[in-house]
Amino acid sequence: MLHPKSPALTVGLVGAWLFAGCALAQAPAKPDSPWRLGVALGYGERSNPLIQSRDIPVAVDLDIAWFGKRFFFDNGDLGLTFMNRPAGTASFVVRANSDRVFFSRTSTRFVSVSVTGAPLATPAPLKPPKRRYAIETGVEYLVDGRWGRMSLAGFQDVSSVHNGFGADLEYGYAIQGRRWTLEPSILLRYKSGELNDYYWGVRAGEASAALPAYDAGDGLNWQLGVRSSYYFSRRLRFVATFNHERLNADAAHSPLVEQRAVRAYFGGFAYSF
Amino acid sequence: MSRLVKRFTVPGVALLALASTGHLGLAATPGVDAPRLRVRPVMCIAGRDSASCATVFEIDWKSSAPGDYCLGSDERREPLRCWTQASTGAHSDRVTVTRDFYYWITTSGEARRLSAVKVELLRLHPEDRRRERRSRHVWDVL
Repeated sequence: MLHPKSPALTVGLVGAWLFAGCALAQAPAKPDSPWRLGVALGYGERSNPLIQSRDIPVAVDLDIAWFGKRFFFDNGDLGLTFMNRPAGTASFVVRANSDRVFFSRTSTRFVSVSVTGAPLATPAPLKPPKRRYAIETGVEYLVDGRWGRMSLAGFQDVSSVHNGFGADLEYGYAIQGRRWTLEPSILLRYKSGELNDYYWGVRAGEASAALPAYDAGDGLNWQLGVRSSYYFSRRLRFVATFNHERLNADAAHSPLVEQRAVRAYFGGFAYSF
Repeated sequence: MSRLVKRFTVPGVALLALASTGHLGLAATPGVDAPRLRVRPVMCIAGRDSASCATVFEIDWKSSAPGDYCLGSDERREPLRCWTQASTGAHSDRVTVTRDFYYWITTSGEARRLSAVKVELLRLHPEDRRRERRSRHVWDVL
């Protein structure tokens, strides 16, 4: 997801185009190609739960993935598969934590009332503090059947950013017609106290008259989602998605958080190369 | 000369642009003598744990001039149905689709295809379940 006017988008698109060209030159697109390349164009938004923040627009969604027998690259995730059986597929995975994205779209404002509602003697600047991306490694287990698909994953920070860990459990069930598919899903996401506090806590050094210090403990997010596709051909489809994620109580009560729910939607055309 | 003809009913500039480049499987409008062949659906999605999908295809054709025409398919050795001195026709065909295939119209007794429509089989559940991972991008909405 990138902002339509973002320089990163331009660089990313050019890079992806060149990358895709090289990839396609090396491995022609076919059903058993290790490559999965695609692009979706449309419009959507992901809401930003932070104070002094803007929602995140979505105009382009690139899909760049490569799946070998053992190793895989999936849109930024790196994986090493060590078990692949009918009972399930298990992999070591390296990924970036997703909470950091919200802190990129914040701004400063002078306020005369603190986030707790207390009046201030003089206007004070209010802006969410800076946060860094964390690199996390963990194990992911995928299983599927007629009953749907399920994934279980646990990740630990290895970049000394938050030093915490998280665990995801997701279940989805796809239904389909002649030319369409619809997949509702539910995701439970546990976040340790260290992880939660790094992103949603306010350290003493960051606190001000407008922004009180806050310690966040661990918590459980849950998310409901639905993805739908209408296929015009094998390569071209119209996609519509909606996700609703409810932040855990300790994150939601943070003075940095204005909205407890994070909602995301997108509608557009997706093309698979 | 084979001609691919599909009727496309969804409006939209983007779709028309894509259609004009052939990405929707559309091709040139048939000539005066070529019957217009239409097949619905032109796609079949295989279910999970299945390499095929079974469905009924509704096929109709229309010609500017009456003639003797036959409807054929990659899935059958013999013509599905033939018409004598007809300018229109319709047929239903139940097929268990295991691969992409074509329906076509020929003049009776000739092999040359006057019009053809491709039917695609989509397998959305790959054998490699890693391709169905959902935690793709950190900001992904798809």
